[in-house]
Amino acid sequence: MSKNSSTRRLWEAKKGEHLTFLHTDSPLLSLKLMEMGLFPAAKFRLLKRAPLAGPLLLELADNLQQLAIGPAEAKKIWIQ
Amino acid sequence: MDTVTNKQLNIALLGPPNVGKTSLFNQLTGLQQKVGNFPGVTVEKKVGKIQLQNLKGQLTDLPGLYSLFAKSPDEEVVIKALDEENFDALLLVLDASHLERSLLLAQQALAMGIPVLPLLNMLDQAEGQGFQFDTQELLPLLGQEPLRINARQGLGLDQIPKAIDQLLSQEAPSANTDFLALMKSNDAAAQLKDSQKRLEQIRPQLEKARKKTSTKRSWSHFLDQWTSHPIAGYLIYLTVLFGIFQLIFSLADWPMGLIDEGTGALASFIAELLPPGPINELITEGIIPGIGGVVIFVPQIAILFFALSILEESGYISRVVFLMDKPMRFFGLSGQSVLPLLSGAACAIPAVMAARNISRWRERMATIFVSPMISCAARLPVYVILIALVIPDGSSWGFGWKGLAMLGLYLLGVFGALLTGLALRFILPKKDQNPFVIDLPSYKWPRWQNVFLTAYQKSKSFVLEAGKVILALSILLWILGSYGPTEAMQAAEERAQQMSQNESELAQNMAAQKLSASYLGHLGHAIEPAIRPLGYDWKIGIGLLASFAAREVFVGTMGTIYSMGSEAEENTLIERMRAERFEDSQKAVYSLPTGISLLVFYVFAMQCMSTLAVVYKETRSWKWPLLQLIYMTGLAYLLAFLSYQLLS
Repeated sequence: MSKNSSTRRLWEAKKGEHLTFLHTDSPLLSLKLMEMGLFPAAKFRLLKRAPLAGPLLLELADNLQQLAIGPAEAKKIWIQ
Repeated sequence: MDTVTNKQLNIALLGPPNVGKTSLFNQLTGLQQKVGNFPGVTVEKKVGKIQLQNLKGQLTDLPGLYSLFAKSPDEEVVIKALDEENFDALLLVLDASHLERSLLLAQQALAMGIPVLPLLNMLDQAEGQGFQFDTQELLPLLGQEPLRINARQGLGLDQIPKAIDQLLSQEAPSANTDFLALMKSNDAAAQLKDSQKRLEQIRPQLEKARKKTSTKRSWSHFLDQWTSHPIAGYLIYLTVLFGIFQLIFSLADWPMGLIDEGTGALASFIAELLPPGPINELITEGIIPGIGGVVIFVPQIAILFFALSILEESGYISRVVFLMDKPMRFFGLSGQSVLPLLSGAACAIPAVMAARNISRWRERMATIFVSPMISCAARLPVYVILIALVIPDGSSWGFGWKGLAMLGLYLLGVFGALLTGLALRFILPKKDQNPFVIDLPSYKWPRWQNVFLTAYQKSKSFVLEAGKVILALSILLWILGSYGPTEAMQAAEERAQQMSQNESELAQNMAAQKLSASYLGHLGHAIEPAIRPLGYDWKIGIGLLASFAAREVFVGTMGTIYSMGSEAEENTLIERMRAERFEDSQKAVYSLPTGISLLVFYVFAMQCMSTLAVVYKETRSWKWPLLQLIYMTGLAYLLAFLSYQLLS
């Protein structure tokens, strides 16, 4: 999947949809996500987006942990 | 038995945020704790005395972090402390409900070469999610089996002394020099590679140690459906905000009145106790009212921090950060700015200090810059007296004009802060790219010991921080207001005697005439040409100068200028101010245009030395407080000028 279609997939994903996180282009963001529990190949559920195209709210399938990711950061995420 | 733990140990608490570190720290140290700062920075450092069985020494609560690869000032402080403070051992708190990431931090801590005692906390939460643990399987990752604890309930803590004893009787682990070098580098790619390698070791072992027997959704998930809902979420947030402000203004009223009366009584008592003279006047008219002016806000600050601490402890504040991030970003701020700006409604000092948790430099500086524009408790007495003076009684659609004016002033401050933030968004450079990723911890019942301790420590820190500056300025202002050129002061005394018919009048007139002839009075006259376009006379000028240290001083100064003395009733002061006329035109000084102009001036003017001092400490530069002083005072002048000119 290309970067554009990956981004589109994340932004068009419906509330509650299950997705798989692959990687990001930014080492710093990758590191931060990893430290907070979103590891490569981790499965997550898209809970919701904050109003006005704000952060995304994800729930990690592994332990039901919730993470909010800024909109700019979400654009750098590759998913499947 | 003579064991290593019979000596005084230097121990630190390390762990990710929201792992129960504060609860464990409070359990282990009780009230024997001190809040200070790490050297050279204002990141909060909590140190407590620990005495548990034969374990004695000092316990430092390090700020929570997910990794030893620092990305924010708080995290840098932890790395520096681990490097320089020679800790004998680390108590590493692991989150059983997020064990994978906790183990990543544990692996890094072990690589530092400091003896580490792993403590597995939040098992109840993990078990609630359907996990079961075989802690022996964690041995290959941690070098020992972690102790199972419940920090909130204080369970399992009695095992710590023996475990520390065993830990310190073993040979200290050797430090991984490559990792230490990587920690200090800014090479995110290399740091990522290192973390990935560690995770590859962690994951298979964790699968053996942790079994998922079921997937249970907690009540936390149910609550989140509402608290982060696009409409209900905001309504809940507004209701919580309204509740906090209701609580502050209804509960703080009574203790504030008591403090006010108490400082007045103390000043009178000391005035009678000491022989008359300058020392007596300095203490009773300078120092006690100055300190009282700080202490009087403690009830409001304590209640605000009590409420905010409940929101933080419960996990709700992360939902607010999530909800508010986008609208705040538009104004150059971030979701993390919400907590500091809320604190600003009580006092800008804790607001500026709370901004240190904002991860990005630009948003942190913008929050620090705009926080003093939020109307703080010190502005309230000024607003009250000026609104009573110039806003007529009456109502529209059931809302009283005076109440609407008060609401309008608060909103004006908020709009000013947001618009300034918006301007800063285009002016300040983006210095760092720290990504916005936040954890939303599960909801928890607040632990009341933590809530009370936070409210106590924040109030104490406010009194100490603000108190020092206010004390110094109170003395300076008292000197400037009590002394003046000898001839002018003698002439003032003669004038007061000629004007007065009895002793009471003499005392009042003497105070007013001497203030007018004092150095402060001279300053007031000197700035009159500059403030006249705003509708102010030299007496208001004195009030503005005197309240530079703290805004609430304005009311007291007006009382002195209009010969009221300290026992004056507010209503009488308002009457005197209402009757005041300009010397040349004989027009009323406190007309609607002047009153509105003065109110607008107080919304924006940077009249708080303590805030400037704290901004200097937080930014470690005079550039920011100076810019703030020039910008806010300039904006206040401009808007006050426009208000007066348009209304008159």
